[in-house]
Parts: sequence; C-alpha cells; structure tokens
Amino acid sequence: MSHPLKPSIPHHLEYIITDPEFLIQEFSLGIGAILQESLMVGADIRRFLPELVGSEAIAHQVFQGQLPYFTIKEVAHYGHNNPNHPVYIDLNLERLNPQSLILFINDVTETAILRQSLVQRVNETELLLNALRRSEDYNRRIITSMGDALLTTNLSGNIKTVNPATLALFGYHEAELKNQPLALLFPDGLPTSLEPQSLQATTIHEDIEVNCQTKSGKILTIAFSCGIIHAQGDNLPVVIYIGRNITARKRVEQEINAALAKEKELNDLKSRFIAMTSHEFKNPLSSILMSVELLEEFALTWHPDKRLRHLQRIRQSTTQMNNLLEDILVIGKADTGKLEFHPQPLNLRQFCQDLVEELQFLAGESHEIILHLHGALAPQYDLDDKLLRHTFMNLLSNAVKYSPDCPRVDFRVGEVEGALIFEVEDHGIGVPEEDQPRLFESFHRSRNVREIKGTGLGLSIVKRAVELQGGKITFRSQVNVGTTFTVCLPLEAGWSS
Amino acid sequence: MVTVSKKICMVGDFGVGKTSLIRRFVEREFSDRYLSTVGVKISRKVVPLPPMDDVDELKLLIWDLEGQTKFKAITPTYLQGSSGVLIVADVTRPETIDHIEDHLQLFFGVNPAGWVAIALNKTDLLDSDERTHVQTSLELNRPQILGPYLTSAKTGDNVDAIFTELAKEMLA
Repeated sequence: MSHPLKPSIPHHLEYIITDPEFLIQEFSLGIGAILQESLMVGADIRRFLPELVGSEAIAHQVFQGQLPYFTIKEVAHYGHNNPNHPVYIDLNLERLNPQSLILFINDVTETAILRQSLVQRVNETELLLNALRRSEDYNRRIITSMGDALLTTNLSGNIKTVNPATLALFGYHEAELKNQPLALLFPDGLPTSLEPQSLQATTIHEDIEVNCQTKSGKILTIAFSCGIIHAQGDNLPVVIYIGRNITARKRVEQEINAALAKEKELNDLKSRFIAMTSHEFKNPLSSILMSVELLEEFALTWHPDKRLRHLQRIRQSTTQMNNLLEDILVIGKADTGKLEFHPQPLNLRQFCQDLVEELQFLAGESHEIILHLHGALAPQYDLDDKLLRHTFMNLLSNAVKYSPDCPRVDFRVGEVEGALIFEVEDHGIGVPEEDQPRLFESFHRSRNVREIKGTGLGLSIVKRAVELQGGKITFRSQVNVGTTFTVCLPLEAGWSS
Repeated sequence: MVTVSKKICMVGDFGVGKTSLIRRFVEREFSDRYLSTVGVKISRKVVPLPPMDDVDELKLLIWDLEGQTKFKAITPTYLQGSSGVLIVADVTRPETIDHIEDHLQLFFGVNPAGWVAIALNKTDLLDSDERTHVQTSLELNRPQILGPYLTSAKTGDNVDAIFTELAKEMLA
C-alpha cells in the first residue's frame, strides 16, 4: 500500500489515513492488532473507532487547516475481536495532504493500567480521608453539643479529654483539667466504684451515683456511666465517663421519700391511736356501764357503802377517760402548732412544792416524792406554768407508776450556768435498751410495762412541751435499776428576776 | 429509519459515581466497589424517543471522563464535539457540589451552545430531610441547565430520567 502524497512515516508509528469523510484510504500493518479490529479500505473509520463519533466538525476544522491537530488521550477502546479487555490508545488527528487526514494511534495500555492503579490508590485514600474527616467532625459536634459531661482518662485515672459540658458543670477551664487526676472532681478522692481498675473491660457500668465537687466547692450528685475501650492504635485502654447531673432530681427524691415516710408514720400513728383509744376507752366505759346497770337493778336493796363503791368506780373511770382526752388534745394541739409558749413570772419554788404535794396526795402512802431545791433560786422566773405542769406531772406520775416496788422518787431542781435543771429519778423497772430510741414516740410503750396502765402519750407530751420552752430532755435508764429524766431549760436574758 | 448519534460527556470530581450512573443506565447494573476511571471510556446506548418527525432513534455516545482530582484537571479536548454534558456531584461530599460551578464554566467554555444536566448522586445515602435540604440549597436557574436531579445509581432513582431529558433537549 502506498499513498501518492504520503511523506515517509517512521515505522514504529501506527496510523490510518482517511478522506475528509472518514472513509479509510490506507492503514499501517500493526493497527489491526492494536484495535482488535479487521479494518477495510473504503469503510467508515467510525465503524472501528466509534470514539470518533462527534468529532466530525473538529476533523473538518483540521482538514481545512483551521486547527493544526486534534488529540484524544487514553481512550479505552473495546475491539470487536476482544470486547472484554480494553486497549488504551492515544489518538492524534492531523491533515496529511489536500485529500487526506491521518490518524496516528499509539498503544498506551501499559502506562494507562499503571496509572489506573496509582489513581485508584490515591482516590481511595482521598475518599477514606474525606469520610474520616466528616465522621470525626460529626462525632466532635455531637460530643461538643451533648448536655452530659464526657471525660476520658487513661488507666492511671489522668484526664485526657473533656467536653464543654464537663467544663460548664465543674467550672474549670480545659487546661486546668487536662492531665490532672480525675480525683480532682471528687470531694474525698476518686470513689472505688469509678476507679479504672474496678471497671471491667467490655462492660458498660451504668448509673453509678457519686458526689462530685465543682471548682467552687459545690457538691453535686452525678450519675456516671463508664466503660473501658481500646480506641487507639497502640491499644492502650481509654476509660470513658459520661456523667449526668442529678442533684436536683436527688433532692426531689429525698423530699418525696421524706414525705412518704412522714405519711407512713402518720398512718402508723393513726392505727396505733385507734387501737389505743378503743382499748383505753373501752375498759372504763364497760366499767361504768356495769356499775350503772347494777345500780339500776340493786340500788334500793344495796347497802349505802356498796352503792358508794360503784359510784366511785364510775367517777374514777370518767376521770381516767377525761385525762386520756386531755392528753390527746394536748398532742393534737402540739401537732397542729396550737400548743403555745406563754411565759409569765412564776415562783418556781412554790410551783414545785405545790406539784409535789399534789402528786404525793395522788400517790398515797406507797411512795415518797422528795423535792431537792439546789442552790439559790431566783424569786421569779419567766416560765409557762401550763407547759411546766404538763412536763412534770407526767414525769413524776410516771416515776411513781413505773416503780411499784421502790417507793422513793427524787425531784431535783436547780439553776446551773444560766439554765434550770430538773431531774426526776426513780428506782423502778427502767426502760429496756431496745425501747430507748422510741421512748418519746406517741403511743410507744416499753415492752416491760406489763399490766401497768398507760397510753404512751405522756412522754410524747413532755418532749413537745420541753422543746416548746426551748429546752432539752435526756434520760438514762437501766432495767430494774431505774430511770432518770433530766430537763434543761435555758434561761435567756430576762427570764429570771 | 433515521438514527442520530450524539456525544455527551460525564464530568465531575473523582468518585462521585459517573461510571456507576452510566453502568446503571446502559447495563442496568450497580456495584459498590469503587474502580477509578483513567482517560476516557465511551459507552453507547440507543435511547427510545417519543414519536418525532425527523428522528426515529437516538444513539447516545456517553464519554466517561476521568474524574477531577487535585492533581489532574479535566482535559478540555474530551469535551469537544459534545452536545451535552452530565455534571455529577456526590451529595455526601459538599466539595464536589461546590465544584459544579467550575465544571459548568469548563463545558460552556468549550461548547457555549451545549446542554447540561446536573446529577446530585448517591441520594440513597440521605434521609428525606437531607434530600430536601440538598435539593433546595443548589440554585441553578440558568438556560441550558437541567436539574438538579437527585439520582442514585444504586437504586436507579432518576437515572433514566436525567439521560432522557438531556437527550431530548439536545435534539430539540
């Protein structure tokens, strides 16, 4: 094959010569092998190289000399004879002479495949980095905006990272926490439950409630969830702590619990009150009823002494019920805040003497109540005689009541270092140790009272009365040895005169 | 029977799914595996057209160009003789959407009378909120530009539509 106007073309170049309409005029020998096609003279080149479709206008410009050449590099060409493996070719179209175009075809498959593997790696890396950056940014935004405190430490408990919520919660700057021991955030060092050593790997420990301390010393209750992860390449474990401030919730919980306990206590009290009153009222009422029925039936036939005995029984039962009602009313007043402290000038010496005399009369000859007045008492003190009477009537009558076999009761009164001290000492049955903590509770009675009657209200009234006067009551007691109650009423300026 | 051949080019950053869109459109297939394109690969597809006076069918020659990277720009000579271009961006990579403007300038620099369709690809990775956001955030109210289309080579969403619409405009 030869072309009249073809300059000598170097042998190593493969080419196809066409007319301006892309009809093949001539081609080099090796071109068929490169393109994997069986070329024919006279055929349209676009049958074998569809890559040229759309380039007609440009080819025309080249043919007219308006463009020096037209190049398409690295075209993946799938030949008819080998449709699954592309050859990469560079196409370069030039004007050969006034009748022909020449298309140089260079097989660049080898370099293209090499370049493909290079581009593949670079692009994959770039995509990966991009995804990583986005993911990191996403996570950082979440951690930054989360309301819970998030901290990480190493296994030694040194803080590595903190989020803004942590800084806001504890009032520190980031630099003040980084690389500092986590214990810094706790009033008494790191609690054992949060120590990295006590956390099991692969387990998430939830809702560990601990007290924390802010920079300003404020104590907060924080519920921590924590776990250990192996996050870094060197496989050093990282401890993650997520803390939620539950101080307000805890406070509300405590208030609710206190309210519930109070309610339960009131319920118990009500039950005990009903049990006690029904029992304490029933006995005297039965007694009254029985005496009344007997008097109705036999009053006319009975001896006057016998009638009187029954009338006395009725009176005694009525008094008993009346006293009980009085006690309940006092407790009721104290509970509703209506029991009030009204101090008035009072001759304490006279008050005590009258009280002892009254009680001695009630106790009869079985007991002896001895009043000891220590030191010099002022002629008058500002005291509430009603409350004082509630207090010592109860204490002294208890002393008599609970010492059936030991007749001596001592009542000591004195002024010591700006306070009035009263002591009531008996040598009776005492209060068992188990009952001592609940001694002042309403309706509580010690287990060793046996058949001795009582309501369990007296000491409750005493305690309230003493406290209303700004005083304190204490006691010491031993079973079968005796009990001593000490009441201390502080004398404020102007109390004594 | 009159068949018209038209050349269109796929343009966009690397890894946005140009090859996958062609594969979905031509071969009705999809693969998650990323295989970078070097140089150019030309695919053919006959597009059925609604009845028209002068053209019975359109043979699309789709030039799949090597994606733009920071090391290599798109070779403008590939775009010569192209009646239309499909500019592709990846909705999960905002920078590829930012580069749409550069690709537009490149194409109109070579073919001022050409048509462009914009594909925001990989929308299968977005939830409905994100989809709405992406579609409304891109404003391209210019003549000779179609879209943006929210496409997914994976699910086939809008793939046929974008090629067909672009083909119709190129013939009109």
